[in-house]
Amino acid sequence: MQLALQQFINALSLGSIYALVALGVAILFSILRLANFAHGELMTTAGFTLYMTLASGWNWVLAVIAAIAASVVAALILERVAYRRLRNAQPLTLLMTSFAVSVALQSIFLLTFGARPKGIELPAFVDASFRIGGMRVQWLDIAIILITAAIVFGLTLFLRKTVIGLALRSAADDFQTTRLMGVKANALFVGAFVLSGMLAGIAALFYFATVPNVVPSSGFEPMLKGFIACVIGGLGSLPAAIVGGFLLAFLEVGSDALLSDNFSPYLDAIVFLIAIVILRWRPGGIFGVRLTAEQRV
Amino acid sequence: MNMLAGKWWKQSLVGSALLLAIVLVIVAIVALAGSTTDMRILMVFLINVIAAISLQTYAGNSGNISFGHVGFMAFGAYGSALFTADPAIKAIGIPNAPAFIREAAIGFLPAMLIGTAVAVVVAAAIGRVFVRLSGAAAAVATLGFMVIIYTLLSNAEELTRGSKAFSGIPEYTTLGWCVALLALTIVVARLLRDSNTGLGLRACADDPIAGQAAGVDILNSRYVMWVASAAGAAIAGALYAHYIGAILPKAFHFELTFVLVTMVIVGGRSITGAVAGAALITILAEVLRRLENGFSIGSINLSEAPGLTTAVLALLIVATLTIRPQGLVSRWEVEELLHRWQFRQKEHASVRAEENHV
Repeated sequence: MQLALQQFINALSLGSIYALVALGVAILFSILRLANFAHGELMTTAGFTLYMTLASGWNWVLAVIAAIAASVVAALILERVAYRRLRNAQPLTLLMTSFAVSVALQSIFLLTFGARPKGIELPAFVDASFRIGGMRVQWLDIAIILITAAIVFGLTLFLRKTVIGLALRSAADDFQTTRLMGVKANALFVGAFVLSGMLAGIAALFYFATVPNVVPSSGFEPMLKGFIACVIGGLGSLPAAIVGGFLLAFLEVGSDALLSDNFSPYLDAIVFLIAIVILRWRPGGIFGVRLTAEQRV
Repeated sequence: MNMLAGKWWKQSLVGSALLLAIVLVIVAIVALAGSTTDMRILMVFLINVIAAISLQTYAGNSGNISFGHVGFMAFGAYGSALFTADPAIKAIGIPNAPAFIREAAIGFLPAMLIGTAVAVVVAAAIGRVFVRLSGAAAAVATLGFMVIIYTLLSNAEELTRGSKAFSGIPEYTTLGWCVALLALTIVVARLLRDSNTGLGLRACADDPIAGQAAGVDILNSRYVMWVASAAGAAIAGALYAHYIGAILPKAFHFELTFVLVTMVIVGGRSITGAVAGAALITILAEVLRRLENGFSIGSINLSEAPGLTTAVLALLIVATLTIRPQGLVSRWEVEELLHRWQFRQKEHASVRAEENHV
């Protein structure tokens, strides 16, 4: 029972990270129809910023702000340099461009920081924990779960109650009509990329707090998990992305707990296989068809 | 095109022959004038072309990209390597492998067929999932498939030596093998593309509703292409393994996927496009590598900079896609390009004649 509860908290915390990555991916996809494979590199940018600022003795609050800012700035640069020109391109071309951008960024990281892992000097409170009965709970997990809940709540309010949010939601439904209503296309692009960059930055903070070292290819794994979460939820819908993220995390923690240790190196393969089996019967994701028609954001 | 009307496969064969002739001219030039390094690049180029054409057989016809085909290449490579490597080497490297693998020492062709058969069985088993997806979902799911294969290969130590290199693979791959298998790939890919299945599928890629209304079974057509392209990729993988002599799971991961998929996308949506894309990417990578060797800015010696080639290559690809989103040759095959060119010449001539007349 205790073990199960502990695993449950682990899965919730892992699911929060996946859900944040998936949200960042889904925002760009629902509004701009852009599958941004470079999302992982936005996270790596935040990771390297975290490494550099903490290593040079910054206060952790400043380092956190710098990391999120770095990933937002990187997202804006990508929008300006790579994606703005391709607004009317074929989806496949767009997909390949984001793939190439991701590879280019990884190579630039390799060029700048080298291939060796850089240990991030996390502040001591990250490891702090408390006990309930015989169970040890990390404060970090609790913080991740609560902050993610707050972000999801804040994002919902932002999208539902503000004019910018309304513009973004209507762009997800019909980009052209939104432009005809007087919303600048560039503003929509910038808005979507800022949101996505912020989510990538925050997800990166949590991710690197649990895996405290960063290499040029660090972003690949969380990016892929975020994308798979989106796809099994239903690509293009924000609620589906969140559900997909938690589902993936529960699959991962559940398989790890149920299977013997011999299988733990194969964990990713097993989880992805289950995801693919789900797609066999629901190609549009779990919510796929029903949600995407009326209610994308 | 009219002179070739009649049986559809006649044009396919003429087109394949033309494309193969162009490749053979390149091969002849490099073989006569090139250095040993050039020959190595040529061989890798030919193997990549086989892989790119195979991927194109699925991607170009269905309009769906696949990031998973390096997984099939890995099946071909490991399948063929396991059955051909010297039993003495295998006794040391993979002592826990099943006896029929450990003691096997069969020829190149049967081993390649075994690897290909494994890839085909896996593709047939799992293909039904991928053919039902499209766009970004298909890309992500196939990327997941690639990671599954990679995870399996790097952990199945008793078979593959895990993430360590599996070496001692006999170097059977010769220029003759490459050219012969390339010819086979081109012909089969062209026949598939121009067949009713391929034509219907390409129509559906442009307009799925109209295509299905005209009676095309998208899912089954995609499935046929998926399995066929997996076989081609496995052949390329086997050639690769027997050329390099040592393989490791990392070789069939993100980098190779990126290279193959860019070849296909930069080239365009035809078999000719896959060849053109492969040629362009190979030349770009080679030029960059040579620049890197004899080139330095100030005190920074660029030859010590890992990742620079890839970075520049990726940026060039972004540039190419921005300038020419439909790919180098768009959706045309080589003989169609020729006809279009001739037609345009004729049109120019008649316009000029009219101007003179007036």
